[in-house]
Amino acid sequence: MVETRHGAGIVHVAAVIFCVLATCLTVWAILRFAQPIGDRIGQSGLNVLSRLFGLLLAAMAVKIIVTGLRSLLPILG
Amino acid sequence: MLPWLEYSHFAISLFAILTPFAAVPAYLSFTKECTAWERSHTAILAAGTAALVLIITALMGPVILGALGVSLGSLRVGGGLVLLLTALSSRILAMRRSGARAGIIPPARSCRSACRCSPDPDPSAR
Repeated sequence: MVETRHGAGIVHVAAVIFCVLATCLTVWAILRFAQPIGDRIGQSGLNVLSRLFGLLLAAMAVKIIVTGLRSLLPILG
Repeated sequence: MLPWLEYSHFAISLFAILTPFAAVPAYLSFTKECTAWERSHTAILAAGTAALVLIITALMGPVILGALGVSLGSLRVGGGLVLLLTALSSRILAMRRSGARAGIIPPARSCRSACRCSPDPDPSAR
């Protein structure tokens, strides 16, 4: 997992900020062209994408919880 | 500096957590009556706010957590639970409950009050 700690180095922080900016730029582009995207893939397509990302999000949430539990309870390994 | 793969993994995770495709129906229904300028302003505002919050928490996170006395592990468990509940409630369960058109979030207010992005140049023209 990527985290910024003290003494992580300026390159690391810059890379994290670059990742954030790139992601937000993508989000902006998707919102900016929401109308054509919505017209193109339609309501059901949006629902499918939404559910797909919801599933991905749930899996990611479980992964984050497990990482946290591992660091809280080292007995879990 | 971690391996390059870690950063791409981070960016993809971030993209999935922000879920812009789930925001598209909401964005479209909220900005239905807005002008093109207001739409693009709303998009910039949304993405800019997300970027600002993420960068501030990335830079100030250790300080804030240290001040609160919260360990990274407990933050992960709590944040993961919130993320899990968000994913279940808004993306999967809500849609199953209310059918195929649940992706459209009905605008609670009119567009005029929803996007306060511009001083209305000519109210009489509406």
